[in-house]
Amino acid sequence: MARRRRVSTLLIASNVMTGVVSALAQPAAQSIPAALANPPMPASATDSARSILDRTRPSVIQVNGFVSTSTAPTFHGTGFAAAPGGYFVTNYHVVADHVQDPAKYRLEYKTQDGKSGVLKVLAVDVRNDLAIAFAADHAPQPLTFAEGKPGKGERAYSIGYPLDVGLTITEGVSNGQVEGQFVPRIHYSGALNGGMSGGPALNSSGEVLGVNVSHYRFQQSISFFVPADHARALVTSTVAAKADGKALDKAIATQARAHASALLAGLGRGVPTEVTSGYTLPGKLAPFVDCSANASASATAPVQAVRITCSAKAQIYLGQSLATGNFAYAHTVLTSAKLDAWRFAHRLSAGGGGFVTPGNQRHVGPLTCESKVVALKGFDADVSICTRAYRKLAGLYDFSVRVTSVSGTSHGFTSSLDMSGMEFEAGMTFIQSFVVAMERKA
Amino acid sequence: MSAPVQDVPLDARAPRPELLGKTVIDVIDADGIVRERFRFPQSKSPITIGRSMTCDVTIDDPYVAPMHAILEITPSGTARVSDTGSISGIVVGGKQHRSASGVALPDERFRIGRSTVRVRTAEGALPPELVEGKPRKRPFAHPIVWATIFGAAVAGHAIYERWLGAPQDLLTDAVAGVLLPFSLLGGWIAAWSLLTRIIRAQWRFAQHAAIAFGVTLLYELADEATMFGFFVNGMRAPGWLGVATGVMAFSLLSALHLQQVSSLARSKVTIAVLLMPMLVGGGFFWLSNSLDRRGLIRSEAALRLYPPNLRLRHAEPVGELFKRAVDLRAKADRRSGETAKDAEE
Repeated sequence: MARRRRVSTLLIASNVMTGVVSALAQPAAQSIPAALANPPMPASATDSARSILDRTRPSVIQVNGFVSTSTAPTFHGTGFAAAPGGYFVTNYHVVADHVQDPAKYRLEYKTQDGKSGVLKVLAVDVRNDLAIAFAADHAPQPLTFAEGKPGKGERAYSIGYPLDVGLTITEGVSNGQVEGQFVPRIHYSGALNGGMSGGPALNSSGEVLGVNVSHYRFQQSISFFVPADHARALVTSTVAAKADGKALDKAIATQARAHASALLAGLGRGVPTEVTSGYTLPGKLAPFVDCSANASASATAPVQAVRITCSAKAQIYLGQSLATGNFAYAHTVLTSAKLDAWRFAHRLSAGGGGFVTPGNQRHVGPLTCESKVVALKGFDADVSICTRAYRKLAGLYDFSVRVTSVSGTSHGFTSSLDMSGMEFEAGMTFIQSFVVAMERKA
Repeated sequence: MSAPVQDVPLDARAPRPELLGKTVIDVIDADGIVRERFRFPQSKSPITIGRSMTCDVTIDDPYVAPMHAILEITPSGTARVSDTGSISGIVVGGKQHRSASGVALPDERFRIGRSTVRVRTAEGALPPELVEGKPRKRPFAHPIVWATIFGAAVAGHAIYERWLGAPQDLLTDAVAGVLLPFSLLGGWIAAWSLLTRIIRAQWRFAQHAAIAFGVTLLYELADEATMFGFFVNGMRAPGWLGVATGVMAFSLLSALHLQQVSSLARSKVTIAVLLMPMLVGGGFFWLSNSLDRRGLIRSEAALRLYPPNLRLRHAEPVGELFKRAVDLRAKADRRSGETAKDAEE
């Protein structure tokens, strides 16, 4: 059975294709055929799209990143004026390279009529992928934010600079806030492409209902906005606090910690479980955790396997090959009526070995592990806990846990739990409750 | 100068006084094998030694001068050697002599070039006869026997590994499982044999086969034994252990093959066999540590399970593990700090 994989892609048009960025921020042109990316458009819609574009055009800028003094852009996105005096909203992931390494990447805006100038990042909100950029010499009329949340089925427009085709407006339908997702997003059934990141999403009155942020690759027009209230809050606080854009790295670490705390708090204290082949194992831990299961294809195979995979879409992008908030766990339960204990044990250990924990050594230290055979409820299990520290995000750790039952001769399981960017104590407390919840009822 | 007299018949009925005392000169190659033997009457002195055909003793060794040394035999049968001004001189009792004359030969031999010359005269003292023990049967003396035994055991292990995977068709899987290591080892053995043929003019195929199969078997047994040992104690074997065992086995393997190829003294090879795994193992340990610090490889514990009733140690309470796990924070911080420099590169 083929599992569908949904890959959410950030909409930055980037020429830098290294590490995680290449997976996250590939120009969407590679993954979505143009013919599929155009939603059907009613004949009457064209007029309102034109008028909205005409009204909005002066407030929208292209955000360009360059390597030091080079004039060829390295990456680009979109931004829009959100407060008087030159305050622009864009996505954090558009300006992330500049924020992480201002000496290497400089940031510029470019308007529709060809004017360009320096942009400075004043504030970021990595949890909602937002940033406030400031232009000293360009202060167009700000767009107004819509009140309330958009409902399902309302017409919506998105404006930005996709790839290399110039200012573009796409028309589609808002499907309201995505349900069961940890990071709030508005689902937009319309085309978003690389380079439109940070551009405004508007309702039919031309008010901002969100900020373009990502889409699913290999799917047809499933795109996402960051809800406008987060952008408005960030703009308001930036203007009020007269933020100067200093110590952004500290702010990012603080926000990543807050994200991790909120994620673990969202999972709650108790661990909901479900029973698979006699083992009680952690089940769907929270509404925002997605679980899927599959089983061995052949009924005559000597070992029957059931695999349950769960993950929360809670990853936040912080920079090239740096993302935290990953949260995933999986159980593989094996049963066999045919195999002897010796061969069954061998089969079970094949699934309990490897640690595949992506991460770049520039950002994380080496793993350190502790493992032992421990007594759980009704069975013994080999538990191995590995952790590593983030180099610059003080107080954050990755965890990788493997649990393999070692008691059964014809039944057993291996479980994995991987979390990135958690605070140590909260992470360890969660791991303990996760492991202790496992049970075998004879 | 007269040509050497070879295989002079000794006729008992007609004694020839000039041959009652005789000088026997052996040219021994680097393997300790007598390549040539020259016989002279004891009255023959001096005897010239060199690469030239005009010498009394001709040595086919490119490191020997055309006219290298002169041997003098006293009437009492004492031999003394003189160097004729060759580049490398002569070596007597481990000491090099250049342009020296009249050097005595305490152990009846001296080295020139890469050859050893042994000089024996009728007067030379002989050690007493050795006592021969009872004749022993050594059925396994021939390396082909060992090669067969080890090869069968390696095949058995390959079949066991396929059996572990519980395939639908064990026979096909087992044949495939045996063919793969045997074709690899076969090429390996053939390569070493060829090398030995080139260097020593002997194939030594059975020896190389016995070494290759024997060390492979040793590695497989060591690997199984360590994994099983960790399992029965309720522990995970460190991730680097398997690779380290492999490296040790490989260096042992190379050392033993090299012994067959080279003509090093057995004692030197024994030292090499003992030292090489340590050096290679130590080097590997350093390398894995360094790579691990750079985050390029990870050395988490590997897991191999066996039936639960074979486990000797009781499982510890889960709380104990989490008590120890608290220390992981400090360890992770420390390792992150230690590797900060590597990460900058």
